[in-house]
Amino acid sequence: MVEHAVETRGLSKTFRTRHGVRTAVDGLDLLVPATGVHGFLGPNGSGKTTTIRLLLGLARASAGEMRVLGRPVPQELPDVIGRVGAVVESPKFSPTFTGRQNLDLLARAGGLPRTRVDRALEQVGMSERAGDRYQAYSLGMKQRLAIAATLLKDPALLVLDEPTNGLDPAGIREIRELVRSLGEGGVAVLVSSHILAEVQQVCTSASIVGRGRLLAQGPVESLLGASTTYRVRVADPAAARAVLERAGWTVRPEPAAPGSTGSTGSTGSTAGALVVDPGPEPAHRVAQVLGEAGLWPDELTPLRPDLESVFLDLTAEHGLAGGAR
Amino acid sequence: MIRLLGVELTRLRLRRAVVVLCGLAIVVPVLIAAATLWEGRPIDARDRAEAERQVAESLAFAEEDVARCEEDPEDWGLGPDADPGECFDVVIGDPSFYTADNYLWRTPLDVGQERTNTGVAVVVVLAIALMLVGATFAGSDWATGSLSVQLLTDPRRGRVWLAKGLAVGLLAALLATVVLTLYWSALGGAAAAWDLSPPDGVWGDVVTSALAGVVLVTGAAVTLYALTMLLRSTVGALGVLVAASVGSTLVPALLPVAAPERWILPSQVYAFVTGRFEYYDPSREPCGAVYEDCVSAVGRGDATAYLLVVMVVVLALSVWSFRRRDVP
Repeated sequence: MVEHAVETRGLSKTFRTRHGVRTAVDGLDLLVPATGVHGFLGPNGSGKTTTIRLLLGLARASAGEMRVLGRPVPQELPDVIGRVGAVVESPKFSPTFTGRQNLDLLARAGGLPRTRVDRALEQVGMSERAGDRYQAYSLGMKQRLAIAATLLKDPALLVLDEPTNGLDPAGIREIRELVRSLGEGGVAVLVSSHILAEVQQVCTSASIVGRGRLLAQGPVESLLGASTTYRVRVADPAAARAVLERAGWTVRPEPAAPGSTGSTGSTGSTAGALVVDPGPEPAHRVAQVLGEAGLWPDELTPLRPDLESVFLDLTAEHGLAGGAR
Repeated sequence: MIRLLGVELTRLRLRRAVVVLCGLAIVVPVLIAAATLWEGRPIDARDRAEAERQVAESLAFAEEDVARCEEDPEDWGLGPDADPGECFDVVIGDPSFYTADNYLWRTPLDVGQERTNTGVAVVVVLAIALMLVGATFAGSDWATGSLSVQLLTDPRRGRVWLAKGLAVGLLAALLATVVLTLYWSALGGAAAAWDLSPPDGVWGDVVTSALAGVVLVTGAAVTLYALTMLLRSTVGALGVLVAASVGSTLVPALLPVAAPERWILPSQVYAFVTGRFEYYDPSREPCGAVYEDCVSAVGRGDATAYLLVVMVVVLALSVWSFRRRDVP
């Protein structure tokens, strides 16, 4: 078993345009674990889709090395493509063929039994509409069909570029569950998505890219950071702040528009609340210090950064504007 | 490879535009055959009676003109003293022209002549229809983006290109063989039934022309497929086809070439199918009054070389481009 489902080293891609040479991917070192779901995040134009296209042989790299399921690509891509399912950008099928005809042709081209078509259609809930022409499908149905096409192969690696685009909330949840179950079932899933909360819910690891370069990479937990801060609400915030600072901890009033989410799921500032960072000390030490000063806390809530705030911090740090795509 | 070819043949069969174009490739030759047989039916008593009526009518008009001429010869370009015989010569000339045979406005079916007339037209119709099949087949893969999905199943681009090209070529060859066989069978059957069978050797020429037609149609379809794969657009490929057809006629005419007909595309197509295209060649002047002394000809060998060069260049560029360029 290979350690990484996808591995790139110094991967670069430049395009010649009328305005000169544009670098879409710039020395990218990407590592996607062989199991689990890996998020691939970055602002618009950060090179995510280009990287995926390079990995799948749809575009030629200008420099660097790539390995998919342990095999160098594009040289040995034909040997591994049978174990790689992928949806790149929007779903692309023949519009006048039915959904089933489109999948049948792909299954035949891949030398796969036709029973896989029925199974894949069922997996994405498209069995009933499989006989309709593709052009009559909604965007969500097209997306499901594209995912069904990836499942034909029984893949060891699934590459999904914005897989929930166009899906309704129920569809998004279904796909999320499908991706999660595939990841838990031993399939390596590489998901590019701009819905960061969703990535955080599904992914076990992630890579964040900007301007074609890797900004951060690793397990989601480590990307979110080891330290935890707490929201503290007391009757006398000024006194509490002084006590906590005397303990050697960083204390600040809770910002008006924080980019963090409380563990309860609430967002936004809390009037008179403080944010304290006790370093490695646990929550009960904060309560103990305040209690010893007679300032019993009305609220002591752990605040953990989410992937969105990590992403925004990283992209801002590197001067990258825009959303996460 | 066989598996991929089967997939591409199915893809062709499922495309509505392909089905419609194949239908046209059958219907239009059927109409041409029907019109040819109708025009080539044997001359019957009614045709001859109508011709004789027209002869009598023409002679009556001519005799009226002779009378007018005799009254006023100067109106007919003769001198005031012209005798009646001169008027007869000017107006009627050779009286043997006024026969029923010369007033039959169609000729019975001549298989040898049809080989160089409607036979070429049928090949051209087939070539156009199947070029459109090749172009629309490849163009739709690019327009819908489905080619990238296909390459995610088999990334060996050379094989994918070849499988699609073979599918187009097989369809073109099959359809051209069937249509041309039916066309010449219809004409041959009618000629035999009407006792108009051609002389020995004509059917050999017909078979050779039909085989050349099948090769031409197949080559044309595959070339347009390759051109569309190169340009990634049906409209672009058809635009280039039109530009090349017009350009290959205009450019030699504008260049200081003695006989531009020698180099234009339609001449090569005609020569390839019929075996010979004759054209007036000024470089042979003074050639006197004998027509054969003033003409040169493009043979099937010359036409084959011309068309083969065009095809090989387009195919080579197409394969090279498809293997190297990024696929959207």
